[in-house]
Amino acid sequence: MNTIRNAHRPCRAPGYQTEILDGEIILFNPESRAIFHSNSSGALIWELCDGHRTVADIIRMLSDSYPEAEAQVPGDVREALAAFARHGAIQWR
Amino acid sequence: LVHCDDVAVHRALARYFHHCIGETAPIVTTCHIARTQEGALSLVYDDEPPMAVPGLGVAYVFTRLARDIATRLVMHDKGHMVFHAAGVAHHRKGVILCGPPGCGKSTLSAWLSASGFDFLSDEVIAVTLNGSDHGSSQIVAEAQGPREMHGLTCPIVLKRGSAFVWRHWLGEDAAQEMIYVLNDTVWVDSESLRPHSVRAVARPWLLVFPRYSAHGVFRAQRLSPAEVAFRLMHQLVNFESLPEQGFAAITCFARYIPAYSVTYTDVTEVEAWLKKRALA
Repeated sequence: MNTIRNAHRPCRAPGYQTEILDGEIILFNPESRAIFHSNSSGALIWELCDGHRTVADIIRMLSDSYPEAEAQVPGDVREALAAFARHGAIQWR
Repeated sequence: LVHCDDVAVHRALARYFHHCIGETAPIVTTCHIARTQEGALSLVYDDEPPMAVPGLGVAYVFTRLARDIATRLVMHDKGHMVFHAAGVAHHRKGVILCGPPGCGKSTLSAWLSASGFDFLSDEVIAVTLNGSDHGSSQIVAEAQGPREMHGLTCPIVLKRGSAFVWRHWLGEDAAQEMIYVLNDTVWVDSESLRPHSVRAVARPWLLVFPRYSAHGVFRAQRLSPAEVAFRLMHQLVNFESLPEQGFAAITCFARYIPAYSVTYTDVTEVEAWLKKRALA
C-alpha cells in the first residue's frame, strides 16, 4: 500500500511476538525472523491497530491524549504505520 | 576431541587451542588430523565424510577447526544465549563486545586483554539463561539474578589493519612465530599478549556495540532496552535451540544489562572509557 488513507483500518498481523521495554516496543516474527523496534509512540499506535479503528480514529485518539503534540501526531502515526506495514506487521482492512 | 599424529601440528594445536581443552567439556565429535604420504594434512570428523580437499595447510586446518569447534559446541546449546561477540573482563566485570564483522571486536579484545583486562573470547560469548528466560519474560526481578558469561577462547584473529596491536605489545620480532592465514591476517595467542590473561567466566556487566570510524570522534551513547534487544537478536547464534527462538531470553537480558553504542577512532579511547567511566 503506497498511500495510507484516513479510512484504512490497520490490524496487527498474526505471528508477531511483542515486548514493551521501557515504553518502546520490539516486534519479532519467529517464522520469518523479521524483527524491528519502535519508540513509545509506535508502541501506542501498535496497540491501537485492532482492525476496527481507522487511521483517522488513531490520529484523533492520540491527538486527544497528547494535545501539546497535536500538530505532529498525523505524521507520526502515518510514519509508524508505514514502518509496521513495511515489515509485514500490520494488515489493512 | 582432536587426535593429531603430526608433531609440529600437535605442538601448534597445544599452543593455540590450549584454553579450549577441558576435562568436563562434552565430546561432541572426534576430529583426526593426520599428515598424508604426500605431505599434506587431512582433517576427518567421525560424523562426517572425509574431506576431499588436497594439500591442506596448517592455516586452513586451524581456521576450519576453530570454526567447527565453535559451531558444534554452540549450535545445540539450550542453556545459554550464544552470541557472535567478543568478551573481556575487568575485576570480574564482564564486557561483551558485540557487533557485525569489521566493527572491531577482535582488535578491541586483543588490545584490552594486553592492557590489563581478562580475555574471554574474540568470537563467541555464551551468557547463561535465567529461569525467566525460558518462559514469560514479564518477571523482571528474575532477570536481574546472577548470570555468567563464558568465552570460547581460541586464538585472536587480527586482520592486517589491526597489526598495530601485536606490534605494539610484542614487537616486530614476534612476526616470525605467528601463523598467517590470508591477506596478512594473523593468529595471536592471547596469553602471548599478556600471560595469565585468559579467564573462563565473568559476570555480564556491560554490553558495548563498537564501531570503528577512521575520522570520527569518540562517542558513547546509551541504548534503550528495545534497541539492545533488536541488536542482540541479530548476533544470537543458537536461536534455533532456544524457546521462542531466543526472543524471551534476549528481551529479558536487555532489560537489565547497560548497553552503549561506542564510536571510536583509537582503541585507547575505549580502554580509557571502560576503565575510568563505564566500569568504575
